[in-house]
Amino acid sequence: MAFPGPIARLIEELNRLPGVGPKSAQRLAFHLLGRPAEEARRLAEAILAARERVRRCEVCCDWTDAPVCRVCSDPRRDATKICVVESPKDVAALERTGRYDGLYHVLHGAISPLSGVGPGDVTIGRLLERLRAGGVQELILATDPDVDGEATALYLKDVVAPLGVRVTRLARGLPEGGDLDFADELTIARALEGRREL
Amino acid sequence: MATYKAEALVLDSRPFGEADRLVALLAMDGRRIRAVARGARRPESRLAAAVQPFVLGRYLLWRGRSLDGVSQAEIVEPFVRLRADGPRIAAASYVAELALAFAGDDESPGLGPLVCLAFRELASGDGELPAERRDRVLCATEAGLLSAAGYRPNLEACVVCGRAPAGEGRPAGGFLPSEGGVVCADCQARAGEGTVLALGGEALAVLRRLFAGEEAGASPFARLARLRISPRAQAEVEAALRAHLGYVLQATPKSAAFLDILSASGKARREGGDGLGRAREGRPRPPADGRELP
Ligand SMILES: [Zn+2]
Ligand SMILES: [Zn+2]
Repeated sequence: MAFPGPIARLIEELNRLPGVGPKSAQRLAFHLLGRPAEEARRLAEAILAARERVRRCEVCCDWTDAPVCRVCSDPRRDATKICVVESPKDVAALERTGRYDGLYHVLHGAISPLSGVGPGDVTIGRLLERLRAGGVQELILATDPDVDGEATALYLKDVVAPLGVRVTRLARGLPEGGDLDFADELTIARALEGRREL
Repeated sequence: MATYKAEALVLDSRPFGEADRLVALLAMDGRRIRAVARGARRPESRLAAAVQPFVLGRYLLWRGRSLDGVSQAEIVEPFVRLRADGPRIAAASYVAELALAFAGDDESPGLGPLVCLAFRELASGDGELPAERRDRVLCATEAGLLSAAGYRPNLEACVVCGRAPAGEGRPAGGFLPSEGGVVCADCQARAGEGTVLALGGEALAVLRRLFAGEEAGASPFARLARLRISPRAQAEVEAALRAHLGYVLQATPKSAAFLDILSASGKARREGGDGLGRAREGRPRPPADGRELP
């Protein structure tokens, strides 16, 4: 079915969003059209404001609305530790635990041979600059527990080795609250590798 | 909803939508299946591990209008060691990408077992995967894939004049990718520079062994295993195979560059510089038209 130009354009733009298929895009478009004009304006302004004011932190590459983000400019954070994550969402997840007091580095992706994403396509260069500047004692690799995350961690371990910084990887094991016999072979194998003294 | 079962290898798996994964499976009958695994990026998902790259599993799939989906999965062989170090990840990715390029909607017997064998070869052994071993496994895999798909290069007679390419007092010629076979020294001299790849007598013998018919028995891996190959012949064989692949596929595998980026040799080079070039030209790549595999 052909919609009038402006509606078709709105559907097309919404359809570009991740996880939004043609059907959902239509539904969202008609929802927006059915609401007061003020609501649509607020949404449009919020998108524009975020896009214009939010940028990458000059230090850790996380999203921020200042040149340096809140974590990096907080004097109480332990600057001898940097935790490397793939995306800003991961920073939020780690912050929610309230158990980490060091700094972060956001790669904005992961090395992926299958997708053709190389080391130059993520912010590893900036990370190496931070490490060379000195003061960092531990690099915690918190990339995703999948093949791309693993490839990234292994690569980082190699390029960081000459700098003499201690490199650790987030432990991988059994999900909290699950029965061992329901766990898959990959998870159990990893949990065995990562076992520790009690 | 219509469902079907498949024993298959996961050859590609990438994030899709909110928490899903889009996977490419190679069924043991050689068919390629693209399917969505809903929720597979959530840690508690029962599908999460079974739709990771390089896993061999048994899958129950539902048929969708545009895309099929994974509803249940059971791991048969996780190939954990394929993700134990950079060289293994890079090599397994390269094998996976090539195999997917050769697989289609039709059955292709031999393809699935060949990739399984390649994974087993790459996974075996202690410590980081040595480059020499990796190169042999990759050559055998490339030859196996080309043979299974009916793209055996012409190694018996010069593709230009039809005479034997070497022997009887004549020097070895070379490999002419555009004709998919060997050329004799005379024709090589006439062909001009740049078009013909060097291929000495030893390299030619290795290639013939790799492409020996079923009557030669065993897998291409076994055929190569006990062979002593000089580094020069190995390099020539690699270059010829990759050039032939480039012509057959008319594309460059994205993961080829990572064989260097994630390998020990690449590492040595990185220690000098900052190690950051984009995916650089690594080993000899197929001289394709620059198109990447879809
Ligand atoms: Zn910051
Ligand atoms: Zn000839």
